[in-house]
Amino acid sequence: MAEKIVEVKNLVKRYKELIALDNFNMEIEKGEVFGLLGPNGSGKTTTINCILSLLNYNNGEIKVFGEKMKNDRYDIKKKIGIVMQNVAVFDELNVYENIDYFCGLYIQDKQTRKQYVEDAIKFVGLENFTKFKPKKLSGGLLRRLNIACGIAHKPELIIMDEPTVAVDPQSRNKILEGITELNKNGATIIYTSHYMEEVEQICTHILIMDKGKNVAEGTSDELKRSIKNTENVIVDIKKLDDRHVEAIGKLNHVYDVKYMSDRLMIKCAGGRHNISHVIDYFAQNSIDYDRIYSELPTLNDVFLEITGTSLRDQEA
Amino acid sequence: MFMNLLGKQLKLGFRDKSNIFWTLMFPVLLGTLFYIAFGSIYDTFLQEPVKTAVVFETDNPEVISNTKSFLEGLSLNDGSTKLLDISYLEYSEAEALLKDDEKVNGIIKVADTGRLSLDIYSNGVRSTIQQNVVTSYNQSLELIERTAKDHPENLADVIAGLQKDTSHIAAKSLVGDNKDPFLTYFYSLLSMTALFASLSSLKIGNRSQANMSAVGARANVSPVRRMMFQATGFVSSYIVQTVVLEIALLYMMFVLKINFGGDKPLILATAALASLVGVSLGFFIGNIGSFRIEKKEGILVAVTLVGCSLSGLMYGDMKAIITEHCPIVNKLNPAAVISDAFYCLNMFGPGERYLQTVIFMLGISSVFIILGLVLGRKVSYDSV
Ligand SMILES: Nc1ncnc2c1ncn2[C@@H]1O[C@H](COP(=O)(O)OP(=O)(O)OP(=O)(O)O)[C@@H](O)[C@H]1O
Ligand SMILES: [Mg+2]
Repeated sequence: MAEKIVEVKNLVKRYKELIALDNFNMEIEKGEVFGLLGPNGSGKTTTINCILSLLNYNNGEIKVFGEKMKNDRYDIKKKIGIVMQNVAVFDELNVYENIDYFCGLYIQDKQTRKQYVEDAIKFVGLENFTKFKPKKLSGGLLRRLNIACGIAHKPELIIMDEPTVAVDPQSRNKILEGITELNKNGATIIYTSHYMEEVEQICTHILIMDKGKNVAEGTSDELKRSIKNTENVIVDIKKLDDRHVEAIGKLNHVYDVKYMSDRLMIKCAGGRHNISHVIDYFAQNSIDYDRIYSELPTLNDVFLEITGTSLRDQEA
Repeated sequence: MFMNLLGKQLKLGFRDKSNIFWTLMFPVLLGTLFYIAFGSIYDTFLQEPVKTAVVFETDNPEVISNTKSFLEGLSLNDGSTKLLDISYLEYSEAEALLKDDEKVNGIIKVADTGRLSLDIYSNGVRSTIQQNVVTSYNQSLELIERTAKDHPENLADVIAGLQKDTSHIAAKSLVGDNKDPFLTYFYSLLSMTALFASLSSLKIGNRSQANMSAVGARANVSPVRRMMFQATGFVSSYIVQTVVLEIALLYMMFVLKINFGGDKPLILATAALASLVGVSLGFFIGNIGSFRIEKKEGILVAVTLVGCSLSGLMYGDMKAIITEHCPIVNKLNPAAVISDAFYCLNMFGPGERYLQTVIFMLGISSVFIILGLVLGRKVSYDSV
């Protein structure tokens, strides 16, 4: 059995009336890229702040590196790197100095620190901006600086709370690649996001949380296999009578149909020829359509099936 | 770790341009403004002797010559300028001139007993100086007479002592209090600058508490203790603010040529102590809770401005009025105590009254620091 890096048991956290974490459980093993996926307000940041002992919690137990985590466990804190959801840098210091400041809280030796800071700058690709003050950086570059400040000291456990928010796709890919590389070099990573594509792309284990609860977990494939939805057939179509929608809903293996904004969404459970059944139905009834295609279920479908709401709906 | 972090905190402090601007440019600009505004008044009474008519109501040659040599011997602090510009006149002539304020500012009458008395036409800085001359001369005279009666054996010593001190005592007690009523404004300006130092130390708490800022959260998850952030933050803030205050002070002393009194190193040391009060105040307020830093800044600006107006920043006589009606306010108002420290140093030198202000400043700083540490020791939060 692999070494457990983080163990969270029955964690309860209340903000006055609001229950942010409701008997939340989570275990992270060494070497994982652990994805914590949940919509806004589901409790991801709260979980992380509890793990870090920043927050008092009402109940539960947290172990990090096998030991009970407390706010005075400086030895444990030394091995953790955090990329906070909010950018945390000093406006008065330039890129290099900011990274050096935060790295300096962990690494005393000047030579080593210099090397580490330079590594971090290279890692996030800020080589051409070392003298820039944060105010002069674009949003994406600022995020990258924020990441560099969190990981420069080469920690064993890296916690990243939505590091890619407001980052353009190119930078985002660079960050995701970087995370994979950090993981290859031995770091265990906790990665929170409400972008399921990112989580699917890099995480070796995914935990889906909603309203402070652990609702499902496993690898991306395991999660998708665990639900009854196996295929979604989508048809772009301008006009469709309600009676047709109803009829399609009665086709074999189909368990849910929705027609909204010129798009017909057909959810299927099992069956290998679902798309041809739909095409046949349209042919028999001489209905014109623009496009028809089939998709495998996504993590969003997993989320939808478990919680009854869509990850994406809540993003807006 | 301490030195490393201190170095970085100093960098942060010296780069905080808006803070430096406020704490340095404000006293420099305001001081210059005061200087310009009061400049004309300054010149007249500091550089020109006070025009005084002296009328002898006695024929006693000894009294006449003693008084003459005393009055003519008075000079301003530096000794180069005479304090009084004396004309010996008959009373009727003197009275005519007195009505015309430009010609003489007061009439000193010399009685047969050697006592002096003063007639003035209108109250003002000049007549106060004359009044002080008269009072201090009469007091010396009384002392001599009493000694002659009770302890004639000491008389020689007393007279020698008085003579040695005459010009000094005269200059100090006369010129002292009234030399420069506008000095009050500069004392207040210094205490304001010292208290505005709190706006910089305010950030110490903010930067080390997770529920106050993102960098504070980062500080809290690092393996460095809160105390280390608080201590380095405090020391760096103190260094930055003391440098700023000393620069402002030196500017007033050497560019504006404001005369704060004799002992320059002690004046600079007083400023360093004053800045400790300001920095401690900010440290305390910075740690009191997680509400917005803008609100805390508001509190500090209010405390500083109210404190300084009570100690005479807007209206020079304010302090005197408060001392008369509600002395405790001046004793507890940091702004008043700071300006009082400069004042005492100037008036009475590093004596007991000055020492009291020093003790108060050290005391209130300790209280602020301890409160700040107690309030800021929390390491886990209910909400961040
Ligand atoms: N300081 C706080 N005081 C009161 N309620 C809070 C506080 N912080 C978070 N909450 C509430 O707790 C719940 C969980 O918040 P949390 O920030 O952990 O969510 P999250 O999953 O990180 O969301 P996001 O994707 O938006 O970052 C939310 O309902 C939020 O409104
Ligand atoms: Mg969050």
